[in-house]
Amino acid sequence: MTARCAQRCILPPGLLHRLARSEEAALREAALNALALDGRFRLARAESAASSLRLSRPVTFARAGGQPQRTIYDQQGSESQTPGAVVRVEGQAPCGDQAVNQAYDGLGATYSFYWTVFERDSIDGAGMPLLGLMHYGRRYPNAFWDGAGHMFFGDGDGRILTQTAAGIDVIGHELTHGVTQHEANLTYSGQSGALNESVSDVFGIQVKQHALGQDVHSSDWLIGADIAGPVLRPALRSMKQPGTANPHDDQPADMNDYVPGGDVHINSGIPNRAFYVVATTLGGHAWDAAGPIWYAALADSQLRPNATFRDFARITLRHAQQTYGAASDQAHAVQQGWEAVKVAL
Amino acid sequence: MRVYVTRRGGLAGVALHAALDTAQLSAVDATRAEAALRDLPWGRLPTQPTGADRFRYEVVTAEGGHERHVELGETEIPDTLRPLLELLHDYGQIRPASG
Ligand SMILES: [Zn+2]
Repeated sequence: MTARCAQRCILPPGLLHRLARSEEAALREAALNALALDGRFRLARAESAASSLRLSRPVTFARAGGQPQRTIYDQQGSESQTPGAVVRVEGQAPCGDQAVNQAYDGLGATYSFYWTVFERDSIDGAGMPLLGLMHYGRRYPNAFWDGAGHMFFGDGDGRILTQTAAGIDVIGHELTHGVTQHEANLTYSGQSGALNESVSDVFGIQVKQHALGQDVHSSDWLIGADIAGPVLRPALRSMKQPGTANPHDDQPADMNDYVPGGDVHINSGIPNRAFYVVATTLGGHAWDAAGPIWYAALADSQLRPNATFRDFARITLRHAQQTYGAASDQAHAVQQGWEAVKVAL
Repeated sequence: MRVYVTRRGGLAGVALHAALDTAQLSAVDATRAEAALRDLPWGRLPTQPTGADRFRYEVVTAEGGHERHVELGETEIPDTLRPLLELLHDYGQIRPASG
């Protein structure tokens, strides 16, 4: 951690922390961005919370991190919004319910991805418990994040979707909605809503790649391939070729086909493909550089809740340039990614 | 009573649409559903959903030639309208979500 800081910090961290608490907004923001850049995301989170620039969060210095706190509940087919019976808690052996075990494992894999790659300790960066609520509703063809710390999973209707916990990318997608809520809190409509959805796919697919040890070329870049029902097979979305995942997929692949007023899951194809282009241009693992650039942009205090694709694109480019150099392969790849989807930088 | 119901949103991002009639329900369910429909907050502006990937329902009726429209989050659906949503489940057609 110290070695990393020595490489990347131009100013001593103590000074940055003092600037981060500065009264002057521009100075504070610049300092916070520099802090976010040095890679010690968790500490910077705590410091920025203390400066109350973004929503305040509990600062838990005592927690070492690295261990998820999972609790899985059985909703038993009800649509109650409160957790039902506890069926598996952290450290317990697998039970007889496959969906419960899949959720437990998928939440663990997602926690592990965020911790090992970004040193992020759970949804809020401060060890928030991971709560999975299984068997929600009857034949319910959906999974969702409720905005209040719960991830709900339906069993699927067997037509549109099958058991939703079977998709590790889906679990990563839902947990990432919580991460986004604690960072940029992107408004769930229009371009910011499509960005919110895209961020969940971007980190959801990386969770799957990370768990399976896939590099950018061995991944299929499909979202929901393990939960698509007969009418939506083979997958819900393709990050590589938006609009081709199934016979009903009408995601646009670039801004020429942007759908004004479209559902947030439609226009998300555009930033999804930008990420795919950046990651595959650079090669290796998606989380080597592309993932950290996207993560730094998501955590950047300049990313506003009403951000457009262009706002987000410019922040990713700035991070790529600041972290790797203005003429770096990473910065060029980010430019190519947004050019490919016709988002002007 | 004729009712047009469209479910949008959800993780899969596909819309499900059906033209339904409360006459398709049992007499008891139909009476309850019609009462629930009369009490919907017709014409209300769509509310900002909490969380992400939740379903939203658009309900349209054309009673007496007067078209009324409302968009509801899934937690706002009265229990007495659930039998109608079961029909959407069974007979709904998938529509492009961009439409
Ligand atoms: Zn989502």
